[in-house]
Amino acid sequence: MSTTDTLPGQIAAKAKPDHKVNFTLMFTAMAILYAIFMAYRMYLGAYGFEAGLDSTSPEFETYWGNLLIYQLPVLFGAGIVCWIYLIATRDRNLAAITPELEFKRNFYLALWLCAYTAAVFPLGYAVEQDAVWHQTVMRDSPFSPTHVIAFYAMIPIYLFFGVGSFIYAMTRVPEFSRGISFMHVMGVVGPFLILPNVGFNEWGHAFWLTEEIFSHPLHWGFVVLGWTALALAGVLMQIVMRLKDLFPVVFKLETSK
Amino acid sequence: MFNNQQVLEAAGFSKDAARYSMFFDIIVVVAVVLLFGGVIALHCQLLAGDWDFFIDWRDRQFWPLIYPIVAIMFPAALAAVFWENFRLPIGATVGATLLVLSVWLMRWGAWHEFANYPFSMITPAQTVTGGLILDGLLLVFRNYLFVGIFGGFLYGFVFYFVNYAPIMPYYLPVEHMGSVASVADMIGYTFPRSTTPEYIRIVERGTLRTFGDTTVWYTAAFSGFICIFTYLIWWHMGLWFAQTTFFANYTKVKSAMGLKD
Repeated sequence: MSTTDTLPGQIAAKAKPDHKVNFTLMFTAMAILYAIFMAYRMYLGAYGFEAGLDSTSPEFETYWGNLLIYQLPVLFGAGIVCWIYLIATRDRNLAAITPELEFKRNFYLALWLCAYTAAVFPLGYAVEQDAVWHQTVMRDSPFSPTHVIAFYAMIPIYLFFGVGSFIYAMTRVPEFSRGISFMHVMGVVGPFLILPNVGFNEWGHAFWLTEEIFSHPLHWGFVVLGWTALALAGVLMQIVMRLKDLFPVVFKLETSK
Repeated sequence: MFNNQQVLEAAGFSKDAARYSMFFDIIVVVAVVLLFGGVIALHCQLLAGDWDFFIDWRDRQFWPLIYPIVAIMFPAALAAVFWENFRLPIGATVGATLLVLSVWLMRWGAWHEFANYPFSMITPAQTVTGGLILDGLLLVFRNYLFVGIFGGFLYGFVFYFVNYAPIMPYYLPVEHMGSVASVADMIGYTFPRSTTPEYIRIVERGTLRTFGDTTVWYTAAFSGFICIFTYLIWWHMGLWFAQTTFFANYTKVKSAMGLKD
């Protein structure tokens, strides 16, 4: 392609390339995320069996009741603040976006999804931790220490990134603003529904203490909703398809030697 | 050593473009590892965990049947996504390997470190051999139906046999209170799993204890039979979830971002 084929936005981009992506954001977000997860795991190791066996005891209230009460508004509050910020600072003129900026924002969307997946992995770990609890200790409360972490900490944390990625895409990436990505909806709403499904699970366990059967039908709602995480493959494919068009446009000027 | 420059020139990529392409690949790899590592483990523990958590629960009737049927689902879906979109015959192996790695991490961190279960009692099963068979057949025959019929069957069929070495020592007979039991039975009798009721402490009973060796062949064949259909169904599930459909957005929402119809 000769330079006469280029768009005005591309010439401006060569003078001041605005496709540069700050990858340290992803590493910082992941480092913070895993520091939080490690802190939860250490807290469980320290006070799980020590203070979590009897839900009527004062030490249970101190270590697990208080954690539950304080973490819910903090984690959901952080998510709501972030989502409102993303909406309030949205791009109000997406029609005029340059290819370079669109390229950059598609990368940032991929980074959002990457952070989302990084937040989903510890849920798998936390649920296995919950299996350990139920094979070892008879529950006397739906708010057992492993539930306080798996359901009421891990889920709000991955919702932060899941819903955040959706709002980011909708407000900043033209392709995802012109149309609603069906798979992005599936990939966010499905895992979100795991939270209300906890209600069904605990409702069932109020009568059936099926500790010896972890594969009990009461748990199958989690399984089916977990399958929707596969939909993120579709979102990544949508980004790949768009980047396939944007790569030649953004980098053509730099290709000729 | 590497012909990177020639590849870049053939692709028409500048070094900067290649760098971004590589970064995107890294993002995808990290996302696939974390997402599917977590979700596959969650899926298997909630559908088949009761047959795999403990070494003494691995009976010869249900463990070799249920675990491979459950564990082939995500590898089949990943195989479809990688093969149909990128012509990479790696999806099944990636899925099976992520399952083993995640479960190892969780057995170590959650079972061993947190609740002090001995590691010899909670080693996870492995399905990597089955994943390699599926991808190998896909690479050679390039036809998902063929892979489903033959690879799917082999995935289920070989599961028990490739996992035989770790469980073999637990079949050894021991005398317990004048009766013959196995080492696995002794674990069930003596290891305190306080919420496990008495009735499942002897996992294999009746004719299964006597004719278990022949039962295992039929179980393996039955497992392979079901895995054929599981693979084919989940191949299409993978394709369905990897679709790139956009629905039309609301005009008011679009106008809030400065987009017109």
